[in-house]
Amino acid sequence: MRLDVGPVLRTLARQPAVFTTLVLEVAAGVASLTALLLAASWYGVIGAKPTSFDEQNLALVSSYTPGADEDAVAAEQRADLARVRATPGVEAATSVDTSVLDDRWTYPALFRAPGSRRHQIGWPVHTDDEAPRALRLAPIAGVMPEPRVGAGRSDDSGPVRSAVVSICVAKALFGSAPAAIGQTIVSDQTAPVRVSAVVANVTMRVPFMPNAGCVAFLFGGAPRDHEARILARAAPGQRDALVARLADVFAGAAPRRWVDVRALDSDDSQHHRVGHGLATFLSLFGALVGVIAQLGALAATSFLVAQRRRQIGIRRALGATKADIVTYFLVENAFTMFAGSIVGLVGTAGLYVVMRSYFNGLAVDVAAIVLGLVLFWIAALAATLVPALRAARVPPGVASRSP
Amino acid sequence: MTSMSLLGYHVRLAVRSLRRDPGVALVMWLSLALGNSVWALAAAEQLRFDGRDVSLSPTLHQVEVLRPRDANAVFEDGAAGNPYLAPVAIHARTMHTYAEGQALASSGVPARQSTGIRAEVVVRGPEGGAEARVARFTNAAFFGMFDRTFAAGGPWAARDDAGGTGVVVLGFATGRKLFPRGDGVGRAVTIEGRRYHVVGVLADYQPLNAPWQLLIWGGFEDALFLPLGDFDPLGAWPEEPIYRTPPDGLDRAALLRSDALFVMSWVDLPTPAHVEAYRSDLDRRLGPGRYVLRSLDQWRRAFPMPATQLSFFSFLAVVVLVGGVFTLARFLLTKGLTRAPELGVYRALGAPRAAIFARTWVEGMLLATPAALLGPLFQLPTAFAFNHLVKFVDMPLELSRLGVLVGALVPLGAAAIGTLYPAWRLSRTRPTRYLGMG
Repeated sequence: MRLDVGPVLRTLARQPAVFTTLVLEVAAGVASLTALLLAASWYGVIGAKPTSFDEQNLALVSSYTPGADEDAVAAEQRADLARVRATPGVEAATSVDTSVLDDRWTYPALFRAPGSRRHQIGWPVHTDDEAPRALRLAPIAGVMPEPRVGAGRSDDSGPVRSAVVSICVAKALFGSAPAAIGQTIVSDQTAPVRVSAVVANVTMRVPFMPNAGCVAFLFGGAPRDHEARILARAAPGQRDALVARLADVFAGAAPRRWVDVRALDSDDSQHHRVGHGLATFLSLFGALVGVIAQLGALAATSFLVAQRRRQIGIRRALGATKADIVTYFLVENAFTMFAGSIVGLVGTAGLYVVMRSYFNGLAVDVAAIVLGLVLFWIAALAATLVPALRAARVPPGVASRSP
Repeated sequence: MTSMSLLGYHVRLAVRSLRRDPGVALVMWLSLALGNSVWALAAAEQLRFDGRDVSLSPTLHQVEVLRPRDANAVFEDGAAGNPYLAPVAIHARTMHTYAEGQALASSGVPARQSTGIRAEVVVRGPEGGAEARVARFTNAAFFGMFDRTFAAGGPWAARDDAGGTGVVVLGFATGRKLFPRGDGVGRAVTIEGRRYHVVGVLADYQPLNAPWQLLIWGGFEDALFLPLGDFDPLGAWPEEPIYRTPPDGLDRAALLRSDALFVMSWVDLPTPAHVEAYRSDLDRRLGPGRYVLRSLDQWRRAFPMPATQLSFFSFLAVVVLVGGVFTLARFLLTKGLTRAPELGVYRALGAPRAAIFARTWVEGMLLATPAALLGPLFQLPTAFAFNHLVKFVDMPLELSRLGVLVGALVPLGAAAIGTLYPAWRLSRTRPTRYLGMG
């Protein structure tokens, strides 16, 4: 088998327009395939992004209590919290007005330091003093609120008393975690409140949102609502048993109410499903784009083979082996694939710059790019091999036939 | 030769050319059709995201109440560069406070008006357990103003707007879920523990980004519709108010009297006289210069959907489309150049350049046209996969008339342009090329 690139180069040089369009076609395929895989990788990573909570032993009780009598609704919700706390196996339980499993849309809040132009977009979470224990929030700076004993322990019907902010809020507004302690923050949704502690960033909203980890836990009263959520911490390894017990506790809830008990597992959340669904869908789409590009290549190469039968016959008559013929077509394809891949990767670089403004925190996933290229090359090889093998079967006698 | 018979002649030649390599032509059709399906899916999703798949009366109008800049202005300032902040900016400018909504609803101008508030309620059908669903509290005019069609029944009467009559309209999905046999009208459901009679069930899903409810972050459609007058008696809590300043209390009453925005109001002003009358009414209620009254078209221009990740994928679909055009062009070039001696014979026999040009162009269009028509059809399985794998909202992506048109016509237009170069290139074949035959 001889690897003679001269004839290949001469063929390509004879048809520069064909060569150029083929290179552009490959480039478009490579660029779109790698961009799709980059996006798929981003969705996969974001969808699986950890919340930073110790989730393994958390259960979530969500309820909706209808009624125009707000005091009665609030009393029923407080009674729910008391029932959860009294359930055997509950180490701590806290009320929250949102959870990582939330699949509804919501508006972010704009946190500000009074008298300062600094601001940070984030997500307020109204909760009570049990939150540090239930969510295992550990302070980076400051002191966490202690659960109050007595009648006021879980009512939290008064104004917001204090805030625990995640580190990104602290840094944006005050420069550092220690500097935030004792400072006041305010937002369009909440009255001024003092920061008592700073914790690591945690995700309480869908992680696709920018600043998803920027959270302010607000301790004290929350706006009254028909909806309520309670996060309950079980003893290690006891979550399933606790979920079953809580389901029993709320099985007899008034029929007009809606109560849902489940393990708090962000893998079971809407954002996780959407993230993984998009990653899968875009990968399938990438494969489809690859197939489309190679079908086009297959058609054009098949045509070339059919048209070059006499030329191939002459080469065979002059001593070229079947392997030489196959190599000829593979080398011809490799040249255009190589040039197309280079141009395509330049296109990918351009697309990456554009993508960064749409995909928050998009990283260059070299593995996804290499995978895309390898798949494209394998498909191109396969698309060329079929007609090339057909060409190799052309007998030398074809050369002597009239066209 | 008339132009029609000339076209027929070129079509016959092009068909003959394609029939010489039927397998290759088939693969090309398949390749282009699959490529078009990628484009068609992206176009359909972009159209529904932009709210372009909704055909509404241009006489609809909306009022923006001009307010002093507040903390929310930062969302507006940053909206251009951040797809997640733009919805806040749009809603902050297009929604009203409870008091404003009430004031607008009580306008004395004889025109159809719609006031809407979204809130979650607990619904129980004749069978099955209670479920929390999003309801729209609105008035009877809403359904006609926004061209909502009914699968069965119809809207409640205008006199029911005041509430207390126990009537409800079910959205398409809710109707199908609660009454799978389609016999919901006239039957009862329990909402917030009260008995309601179903007077109508809608015929289709809500558009994704309808002007009356932008859902560009993903969300739920209006699952059911209740008279606006029931909003207070049920104690419904508005969904996601946009706070401008924290309310002076934590209860519902404090929220309703606050400057939080959660009411969407529209009015149908069919004639210039209606517009003038309504302006006079607004001048009296809000004060001259304190509002902007926009028609639907003006509203769409003033509040365009922000660029999102979907915009990027649409751009990528354009890249795929361009790649398809290159494929077509390359195929025609390859074919034409390898048959250059044959073309030389045509030229030597007197065929003008225009004939070679037309024949090649027609051949390209014969490849592109079936592929363009098949593209939206091939989109069906990809849309099915999209709806099942990526259920980011509860309104599935479906084929719309506009989606099919855009999905088919744009690739056809691209192919028509992309085929020009190979047609021109091959028309330059010199008559002497026939000497190179063999």
